[in-house]
Amino acid sequence: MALNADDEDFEWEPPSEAEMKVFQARRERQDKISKLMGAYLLKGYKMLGECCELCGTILLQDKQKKNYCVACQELDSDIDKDNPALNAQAALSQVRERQLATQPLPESNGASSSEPLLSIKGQPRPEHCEGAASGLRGPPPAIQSTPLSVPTVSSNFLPPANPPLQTAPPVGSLGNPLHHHPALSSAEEAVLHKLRWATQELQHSVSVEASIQLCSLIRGCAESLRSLKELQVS
Amino acid sequence: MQEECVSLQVCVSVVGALECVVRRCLGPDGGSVLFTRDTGETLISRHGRRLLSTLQLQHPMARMVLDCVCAHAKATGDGTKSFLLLLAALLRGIQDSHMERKGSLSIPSFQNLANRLLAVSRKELEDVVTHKLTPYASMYCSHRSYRLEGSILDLLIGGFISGRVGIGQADVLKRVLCEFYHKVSQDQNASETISFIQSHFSFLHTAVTGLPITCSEVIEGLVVTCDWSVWTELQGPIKALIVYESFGASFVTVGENISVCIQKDYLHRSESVMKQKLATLLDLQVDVVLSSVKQPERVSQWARLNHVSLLECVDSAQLDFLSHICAAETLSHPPLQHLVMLKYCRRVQLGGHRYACLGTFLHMHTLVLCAPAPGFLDQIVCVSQGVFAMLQHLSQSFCQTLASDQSQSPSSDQSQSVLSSQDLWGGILRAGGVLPVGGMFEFLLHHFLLNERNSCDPESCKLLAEALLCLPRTLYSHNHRRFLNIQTRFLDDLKQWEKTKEKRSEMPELKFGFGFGESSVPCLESVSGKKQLVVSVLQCLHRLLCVGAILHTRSPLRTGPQTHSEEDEDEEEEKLKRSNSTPSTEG
Repeated sequence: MALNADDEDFEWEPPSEAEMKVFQARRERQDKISKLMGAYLLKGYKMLGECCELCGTILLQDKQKKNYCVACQELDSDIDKDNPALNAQAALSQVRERQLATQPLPESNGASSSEPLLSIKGQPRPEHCEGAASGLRGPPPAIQSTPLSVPTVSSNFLPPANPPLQTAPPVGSLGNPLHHHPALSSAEEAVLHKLRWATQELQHSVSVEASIQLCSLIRGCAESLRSLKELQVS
Repeated sequence: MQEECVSLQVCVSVVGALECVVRRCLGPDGGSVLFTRDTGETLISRHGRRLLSTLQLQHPMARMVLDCVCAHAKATGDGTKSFLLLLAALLRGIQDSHMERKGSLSIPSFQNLANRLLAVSRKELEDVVTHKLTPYASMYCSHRSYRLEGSILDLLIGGFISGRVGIGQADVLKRVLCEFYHKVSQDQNASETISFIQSHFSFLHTAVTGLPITCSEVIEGLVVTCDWSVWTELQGPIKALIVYESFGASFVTVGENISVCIQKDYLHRSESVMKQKLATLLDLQVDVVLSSVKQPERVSQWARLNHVSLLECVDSAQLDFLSHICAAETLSHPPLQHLVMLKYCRRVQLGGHRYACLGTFLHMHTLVLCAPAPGFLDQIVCVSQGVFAMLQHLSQSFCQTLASDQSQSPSSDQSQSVLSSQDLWGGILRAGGVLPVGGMFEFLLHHFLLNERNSCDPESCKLLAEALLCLPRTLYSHNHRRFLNIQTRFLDDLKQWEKTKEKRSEMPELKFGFGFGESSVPCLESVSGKKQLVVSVLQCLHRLLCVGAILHTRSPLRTGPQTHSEEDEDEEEEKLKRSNSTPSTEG
């Protein structure tokens, strides 16, 4: 080995910065996997003698004799979350960012103000519904033409507010000061759609891990709706 | 080459997962793990071996690593968590260097690398420790000996315990263990005391649950964890009889399914046989009967009538120990009986139980360890046992180096005097066998390995040196800046020392310790124990890297000469197969 080393090493170059970054990323992923596996071992999972066929990580088995691969089921979903090709929310946030960067602040547009907000009411989530209610509360002095909707708007409880709001006078008379941008409203729609889908899936889900992931998706949707609201209000 | 890459990946995953389990329990700031069972039992522990054996590990590599860890802990009483941290750091270092050199054609195979690292452990490590580290340690400690409050032994014990038990408990345990050692060592010299305690620790301690740890104490006499069946207050020297079988053993006990042809006077005859045996006891003037089995009711009645104390169901190993230390006289006629002389017999109340306490003429003492919960108690017992194992390892390696020095230079009389004198620990300190705790060993070894000029394998030395720093880094993980501070200051002081090596008075004032106060005296740890840790880790690494393939078998293999093979890889496979087919031990 020593004799031929010089000849062979002439062709070898030290790894480039990009390659070092890949090594670093791989190393971090490996560390994360080890940490997760350690945590599961302490929870009582058994470390099996087999490896996962997809990624080669060592398999764990829980007390119900179900095999579990840490990398496939936990880590890769984190990566997919940010990948626009695989996740609608990531795509939407990318679109929104681009549009915000290129266009000025959206003008007030009362025409389609309450429609997405009304559709929010149908969701059984207290958080974003409260947010929607507070959004509807908006700057109250501007709303004069609909005395019916004002008391309902000012109440904090959603279910009683629901029927009266649905029989509220036409949308435009609310004089809603909320600003609307087509990108934002379409973003909201898409997020709500995902939220509905996730809720349905959650009702039918049987596995614990899938339920946990669906709940985190729902939470993510709610948070993005909240930030969309803030964006609209500002 | 593909398989080799896969096997390193698997090694890193397995060892990485195990490392993450024990990492947060390392050092005085480490936490404990709470295990719960479905039955509601809980176990709180931070003892490395207990943690690892409670996990459910079916992977053959994990089990192999666990075997290595347990074997090392048995020998030195130390370092299960540090073992895993160092092993994981080495594997990651190898993986990084392998990835960086991916394009190069001269990547050494893993087996080659493992062999080289093993060679480093035999040659360079020995050289560095003997010729550089030990002189530094001896100079450092001798220079500071005036600042050592309390004896060196106390500091050694304190250093061992403070990293394994919480702060409040460490003080109590240290005091109790030092007291125990000093009481036992009254009649013997240091190395004999240590080996005596180490080999008979299971008989010399009693574990009591339900009491706070401050109730731990040292009791005079040998405590037997059973209560007297028949008890009489006795004075003065007592003759005790040790029996291993029942007096009425000539007939079958009720409940066994054996058909016996009972003769007419069979019961009467067996009764008379027992009466004869008991009469001989009275002739011998036996005051106490210590039995390893349950004696029939007739014997208890006889004992009550004749004022003889009776202790039943004693562990036979403990009875052997007692007869050994008391120089028992074996009776000729009934073959399994021994006569011993005891100083006194007492009843003691420990926790919620009454136990028997036997006093011997040899001033035996028992260490009573108390803890509120069983898991905690188990941890304290393991730590106490580990202390004496560590001291035993230290004194043995010191005596070995002395013996080898003496064989090389027979004119030195100093070694003889040290061996026979009581001041074994002072001798160890002067010879550089101890260093302050807190990572000093790792810093020193790192520095010396990197600057080793006579090394024939600088690459492996560098790999080992970088991996060694993972230990102090984890110890100071709650304050990373402090780790860097300590490292920089230490290296500066070291460089200064190397410049002014001749002038002993100019030893740099190094502030080192666990941060309980910069001016506090740091506790000590054994250099030979730490060196043994590094060697054991490199040996385990060699075993791991030489695994070529893992084959799963369903049926147990027949072990015999035809299954042995000459190549290392095949042997590893067999071991893995064997460990795979044995039932996994559930914690």
